[in-house]
Amino acid sequence: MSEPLLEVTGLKTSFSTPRGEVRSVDDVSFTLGAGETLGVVGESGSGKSVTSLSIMRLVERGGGRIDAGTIRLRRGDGSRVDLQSLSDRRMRAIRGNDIAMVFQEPMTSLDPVWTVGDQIGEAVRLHQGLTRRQARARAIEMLRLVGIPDPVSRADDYPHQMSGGMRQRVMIAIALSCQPALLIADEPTTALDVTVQAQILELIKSLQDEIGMSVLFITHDLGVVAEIADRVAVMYAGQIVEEAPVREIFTRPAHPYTLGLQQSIPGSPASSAANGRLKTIGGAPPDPLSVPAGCRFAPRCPLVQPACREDEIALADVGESHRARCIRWREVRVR
Amino acid sequence: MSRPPANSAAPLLEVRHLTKRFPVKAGFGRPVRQVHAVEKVSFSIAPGEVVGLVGESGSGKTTVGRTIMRLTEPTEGQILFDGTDIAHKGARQMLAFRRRIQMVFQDPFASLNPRARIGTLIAEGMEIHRVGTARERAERVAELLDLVGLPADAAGRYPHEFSGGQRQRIGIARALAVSPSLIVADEPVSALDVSVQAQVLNLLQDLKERLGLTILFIAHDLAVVEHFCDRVIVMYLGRIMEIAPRRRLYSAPQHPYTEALLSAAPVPDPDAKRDRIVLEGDVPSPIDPPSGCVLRTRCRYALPECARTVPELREVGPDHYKACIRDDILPEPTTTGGKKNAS
Repeated sequence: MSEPLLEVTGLKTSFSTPRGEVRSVDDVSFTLGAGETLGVVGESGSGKSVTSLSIMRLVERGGGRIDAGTIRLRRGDGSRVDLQSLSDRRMRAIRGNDIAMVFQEPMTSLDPVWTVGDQIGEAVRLHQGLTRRQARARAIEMLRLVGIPDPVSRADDYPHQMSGGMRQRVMIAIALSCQPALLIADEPTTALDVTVQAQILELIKSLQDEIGMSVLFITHDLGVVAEIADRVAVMYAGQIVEEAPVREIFTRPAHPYTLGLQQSIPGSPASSAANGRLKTIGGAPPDPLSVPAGCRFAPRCPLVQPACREDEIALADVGESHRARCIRWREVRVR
Repeated sequence: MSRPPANSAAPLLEVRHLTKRFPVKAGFGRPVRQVHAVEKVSFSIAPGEVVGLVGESGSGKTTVGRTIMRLTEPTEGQILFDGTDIAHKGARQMLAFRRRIQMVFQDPFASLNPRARIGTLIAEGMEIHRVGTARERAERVAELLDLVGLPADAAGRYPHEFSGGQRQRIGIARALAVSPSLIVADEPVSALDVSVQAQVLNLLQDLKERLGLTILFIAHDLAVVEHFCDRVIVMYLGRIMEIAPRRRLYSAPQHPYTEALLSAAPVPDPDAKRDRIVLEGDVPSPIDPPSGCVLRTRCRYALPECARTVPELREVGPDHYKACIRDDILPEPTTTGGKKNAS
């Protein structure tokens, strides 16, 4: 992978809260190749969603601020831009055209007083300057692409006339209507039932094959990641603690948190449910207002030693395209 | 089938033909219509058993739980608790039973009064049911906090001071306070992060063993149910599709819906075989469910006769029941066992 589509370097994003400054994303770096799917996994508060909102430059609205870092995107014409330094006007042209986003809750992201056809049409008219008639034709074509039966009449439906799975298909249709090079999917299947989730995951995979876009897939669900990702970045307390190809993450995790997460899931190959008990990670994630010095996972880590609590641990190479933020990574064992 | 499926021991809870229909507000000149939330559901739970109730949104699993609690009034059917039908008991008569059936809710943030101290919240049930003196209740609160793994000083603090996992422990302590015989747990771990979910599941496992709890565990997460439950009931669109001991259900499902549900669940293993059976289309409206078998509109094995009669839940193996007329579609279990220690 010579020319990455997206290259995030040293990203730091913080929020002002009544109790003080919270650094939600702290020194996050990763790359995403053309046509590749990177799964970003983490629990609540790990910084996975703030990372994606930072890339879209949507954190300011929520009272957030990008403090440092670059977000380089290769555009369709081969030029490279740093999204971090773009004007708001130029950034608006990137959103929708180059990067599109799908959120968790399809009901709150759709406008209840417009038909779904109009909402898809709006995106292409705004970003690609199509006429009303062309936009409607594109909307119907997109509805067909995302597997909505009878798209000509469903285009005139309002969101409340559709099921949750159908609405999420509409969201994907809107996101893909301008043929973005990058799709950011933030927990797109979390609110859906498993059988519908299966349909949506299949849809994203097949559309990716068809259009050749890259996907940044944010989820808390390791099962979903195992299905959809080529590579996985595991986040904890605002940092990437491990990043590797998907098979490596599951067969040779090099961070105790990655292993602990896998062991916590009933039925996963790593979970060792002896006498009906799951192996758990003790304690809870740190308070974002007072993250511990040194390794942020140290207070919960079974392999902790004094050195872990002293200096910040770097995300270091531990193998072929495999990075981990742990000085005892050699001792992390699946069994 | 003359009798609803029952385990060998005298059941603690037996639900017979439980039906709940919600009226839909009629517009001017339009007839009153009904949401068929739960239709003729029958099952039983033996003392000390943990039974999982799984299904997707709209399957009626939560309505079953709420009806057993009498938080929702049943339209038809019987709810036999320890041999007594509680389906239509008045509020006063119900009070004695309420003490013996307690509920753990999904959302640990919404289910605790933010202005009450934890000690008060846990003791509330004991006060309502006039259990012990004030001092005995305080002692019991301390004992319960210890039991669910919370510090003793938690009693004097408020809900907002606790994390989601800790609040769920408080919810469990509240339910246990009046020493119930049956606990209805509605999605008790689904709002929690995985690492915290594992801690709460282990706590429930401890409590189940130490106190011999009988639990109806309502959940959508198939892996969690497989981990925790002895027997599993699968619901779709208000009806029971299949009931089986855990092992049998997960290794050899006999109903097409169970098969599809299991195949759709994501497995945290990139090398796992994924022979996915995708159910086409959407769940039909519960206002106007399909005739005959409710799954037939999405079932790849459906025959013309599936539209004609509602399939009865019938026995297909030890403790194993399904509501499907076809026997020639899915491989039968290879082992004769199926109880949890038959491995």
